[in-house]
Amino acid sequence: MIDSAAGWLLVLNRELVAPLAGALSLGLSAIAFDPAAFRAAATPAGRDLALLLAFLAGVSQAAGHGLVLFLNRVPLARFALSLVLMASIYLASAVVTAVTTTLAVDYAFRREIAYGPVIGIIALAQAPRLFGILTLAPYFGEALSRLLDVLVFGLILFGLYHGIGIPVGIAAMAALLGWAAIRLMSLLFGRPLGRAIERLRHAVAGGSLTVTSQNLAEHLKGQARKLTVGKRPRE
Amino acid sequence: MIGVLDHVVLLGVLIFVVSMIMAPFETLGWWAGWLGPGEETERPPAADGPVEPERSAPPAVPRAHVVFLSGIGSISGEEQIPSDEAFLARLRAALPRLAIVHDIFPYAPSGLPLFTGQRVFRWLWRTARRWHGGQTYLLPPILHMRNIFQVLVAADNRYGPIYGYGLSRVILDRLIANGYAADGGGPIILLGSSGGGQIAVSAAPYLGAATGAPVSVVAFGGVMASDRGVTETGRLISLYGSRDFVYRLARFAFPGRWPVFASSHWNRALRAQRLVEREIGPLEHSGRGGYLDERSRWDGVSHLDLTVREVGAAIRSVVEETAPDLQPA
Repeated sequence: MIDSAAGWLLVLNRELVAPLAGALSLGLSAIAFDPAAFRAAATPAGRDLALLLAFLAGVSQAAGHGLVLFLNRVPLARFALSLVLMASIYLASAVVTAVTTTLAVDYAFRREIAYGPVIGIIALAQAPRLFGILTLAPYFGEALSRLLDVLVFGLILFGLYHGIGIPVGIAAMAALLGWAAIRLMSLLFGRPLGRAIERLRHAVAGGSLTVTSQNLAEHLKGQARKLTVGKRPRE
Repeated sequence: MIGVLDHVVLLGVLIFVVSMIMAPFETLGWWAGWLGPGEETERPPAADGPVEPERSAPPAVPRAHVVFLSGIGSISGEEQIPSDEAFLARLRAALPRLAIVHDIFPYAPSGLPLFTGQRVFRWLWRTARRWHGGQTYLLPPILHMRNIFQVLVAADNRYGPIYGYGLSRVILDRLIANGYAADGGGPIILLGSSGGGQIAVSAAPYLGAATGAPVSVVAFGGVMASDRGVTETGRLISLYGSRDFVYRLARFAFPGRWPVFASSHWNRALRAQRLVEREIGPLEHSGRGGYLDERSRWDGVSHLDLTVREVGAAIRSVVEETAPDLQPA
């Protein structure tokens, strides 16, 4: 029973602030290519922090890629809700990547490894995405996004090598096989799942997200054509 | 002492990064309606109502409309920078058969000046407005940085279409206010100075879609990316000075302009000769020796007169192409 403000602060610190600080600290070490960070992420306690970090990275990434929400004029509250949803999807995709990579290492290279450490390492490798919000930067943001992609991939290889001793070449092949497995699964079963995720995204956003980056210019030209209807110069 | 300096530099970098990240929010927030729809009614609406008086009366039936989009020193559409004013007065005299529209603030998709509306930093821009042209070294760099970021927003594939659409609305509004017939008002030439060149290129496709008229761009010292507007613009003439470092920097900073990317909008337009780059003399980008400097001279004429002459010639050539059956400009 917590019966004082100090008690609440202690609980807040223990349950929220300390894990957040721990996750961010671990993430920064990972970005600095510190092998100890990945060894820590391979432990159960470190894995929890790494998963929290991947979620935070997902929020930052979602904010950076939240353009489609703006394009569809999603209200502010639903925008925030959509960011949480997109971050959760990001976290889930990191876990799926870890599982497929583990399966690839297991079956293709006959090396038995546990799922837990790989999940922790691949979650921690998402650390560069903490800077995903910087991809909002005009003009140079898209190039930065590609750079973060490369960094994440590099950290996965580095982490698998230093965290659980998988050689870099095998880790690269496993990551590639894992990616191919995800593509294959999405081709075979992805449509129903993709539709479900899209429906969920639309529901959270409060309507259909019909305007995309691809059709934006044509959509706006259509809007522009309506601008002159009924307009005459002033006499 | 070094510690304090480190903190100042760190703070400066932080402000720069945060400002850059926040730059697209004006465009996105405007589009999403988060900035409030009431913002757009500060100016008189385009349809109905009397024409606002021009400082010098436009020709009765202009052969074409020229819309001036100023450089990054701009803070509002109504208040011109003195050098821009001198340039526009001479250009108007050189092109008596054309209507020149100049009261547009190109560095916001809503067209609203910096010191009005719901802006968080309205107080800062109001101070800048008071000090504009005065002896201050702090605010102009901040204003220039803010407007450069908006140029980058306009050049970005993700935000540029919204920015261009927003500006096309503002331009259309001012064109109609200046007597342009929205359902057949003849050619439009967007004249961009410095960053105004990119804004012109971004807005051109949407202005063309709105009016159905040929929309061309003439820029001097234009900072332009390889935007889709480059290929969707009727004609693009880019004038530059051989000593214009900013123009050269833009060639480097926007990879779509590198010759190696042969299929970029910029290079496709160059090959199709819709885009022409023309050097007009040993002019710098701004200040002493710049395009609008009246004191510096080359080949017997002031830089300002040289720029007016070359811009006038470029505009005339565009008008000859887009409205050949009408009387001379």
